Amino acid sequence: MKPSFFHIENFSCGYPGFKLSGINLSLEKGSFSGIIGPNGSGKTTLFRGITSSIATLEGRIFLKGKDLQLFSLKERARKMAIVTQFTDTDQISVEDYVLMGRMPYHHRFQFFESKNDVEKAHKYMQLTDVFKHKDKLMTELSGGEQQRAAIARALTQEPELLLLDEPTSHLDITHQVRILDLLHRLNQEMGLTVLMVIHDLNLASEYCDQLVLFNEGRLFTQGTPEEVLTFDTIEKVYKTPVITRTNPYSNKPVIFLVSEKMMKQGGENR
Amino acid sequence: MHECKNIKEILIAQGKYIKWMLGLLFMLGLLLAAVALGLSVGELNLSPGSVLRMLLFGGDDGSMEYLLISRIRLPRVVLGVAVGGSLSLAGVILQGIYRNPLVEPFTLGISGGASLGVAFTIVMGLHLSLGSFMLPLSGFIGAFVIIFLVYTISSRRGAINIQNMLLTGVMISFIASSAMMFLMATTSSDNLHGIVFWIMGSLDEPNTGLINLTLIVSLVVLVISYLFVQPLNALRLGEEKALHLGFNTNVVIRVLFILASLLAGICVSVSGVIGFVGLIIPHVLRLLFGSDYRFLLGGSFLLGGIFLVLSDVVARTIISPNELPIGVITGIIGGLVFLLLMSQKRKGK
Repeated sequence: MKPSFFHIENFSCGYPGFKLSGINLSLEKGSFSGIIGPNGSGKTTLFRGITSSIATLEGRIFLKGKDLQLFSLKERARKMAIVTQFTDTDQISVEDYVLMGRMPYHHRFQFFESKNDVEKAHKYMQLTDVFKHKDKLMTELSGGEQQRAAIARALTQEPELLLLDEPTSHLDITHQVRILDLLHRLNQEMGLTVLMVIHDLNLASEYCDQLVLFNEGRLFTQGTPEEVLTFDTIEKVYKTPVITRTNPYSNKPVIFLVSEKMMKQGGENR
Repeated sequence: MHECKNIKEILIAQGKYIKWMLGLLFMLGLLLAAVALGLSVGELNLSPGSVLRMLLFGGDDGSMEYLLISRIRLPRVVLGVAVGGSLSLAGVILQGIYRNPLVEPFTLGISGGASLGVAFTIVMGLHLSLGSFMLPLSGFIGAFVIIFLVYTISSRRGAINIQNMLLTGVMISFIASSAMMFLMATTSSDNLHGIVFWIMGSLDEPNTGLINLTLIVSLVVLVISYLFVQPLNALRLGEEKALHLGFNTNVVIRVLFILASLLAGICVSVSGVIGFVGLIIPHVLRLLFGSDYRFLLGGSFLLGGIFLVLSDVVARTIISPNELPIGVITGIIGGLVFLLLMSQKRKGK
């Protein structure tokens, strides 16, 4: 078997009290994948494991056939960028924030950004449409703009693999779609491999080629949206009654929720 | 080299670099002016020109003026630059690793430990039996015992929990100050006077070797801290993001913590507790120039030196021939300037 672009093998990581175990996962170069699962199922923990924020307990991760542990931290940051959920940062301008993405390319005694660094930062700020805010402070931006600036920062790292932790949380539908369209475009045009944690099953279905479903610290199932988002699987993992249909426009699966109120009415009618 | 060729374009493209350089140059000029003032002003006022002539060309002519300048004022001004620079550098580094602009070297119990060490020495009379060098030495030991405790209590399984460390420091500092109050309550009033005098802090240090050591350590740490300026900047985004940008945050935080502690420990053992400098100076610079550590490290050192030298001038002239504790001046002037800046910033918005 040809070694895939990004490969997680029998991986286990965690904290005291919560552990992810036996994770096997492969991503092809240029794929667009989503990690889904209920709250507390281990999606973010996997991310923290991949990025070494928490210690690996077992197993290995390969990037382009090479064990991730063998990369230096800087090398890793040049291959793989992470957009975490935005938290308060220091008072920092958008431009300076995005420029920090060039740090993995700086050598130890380089105190100033090169012209190339500035050009790259500007290019990706334009691509993500935050260039017009470059002199504002990060804290002055709206949630969607902050998310786009964070993506611009990750892109200036010029990674081959982009990891995103819930890039659409706290955003309205307009901004959700804008962010995901942007990611899709990056995936198509730049060949960027994207792996994101995403809560919204319908967005996951619409945008991702491949879905990975987590449940209680284990990988429950993976496959195309059609394979993963079935009535049985969702009911088993999320323990919530749903109806699955097909989006008439994209032919992707769509999940409808069924409220308790409707369940009762449905029961009476029957 | 490729970078050198582009440096001009970078400077033009990045206005902030020019602003930083002008800021640093301006402060360097100000520091020289402050030093000149510190050398000239006192009970006996001399013109800065004659001071300069004496130091550069005069040599030892045995005059009273020469002795006054070289033996009394020069060491004091040098110590002012070194201590002021060190305290604000330590402050800015600690604020960087804790990501909290309200941390200063003495928040972490360093001053408490040093004071306790000195109080213990005075109460036991060790400075009388073993020599006066015991005072700075015991201060230094006290500071480092506390740092060691804070460090070991808050690191677990090879990783440091930075928030734990802050709380631990504050708690240990409370314990140390209670222990010191116990010593003060039970000792004679002579010793009490000695302890209080030391706690109030002063740049009056007779041992020139100690002064030179302080200056050298402060400059060396300044240079070393610049090797960590990139990770320090990355830490502005948080520990996890700094790791994602390729920095080993665990090592960086440890090294910087030890450097800052070393600076604060030496300062407190040479000059006693001079509070507020480490808090106010970085804060003023953040307000004026932003939070990029490439500027803040050097800027804090310079402005800290300026501030302490000028404060010392005020402290020893305002009620001449008596002298005020320098901590009184740093607290009052620093606080007022800070409030002024804050209110102007708000008006500007």
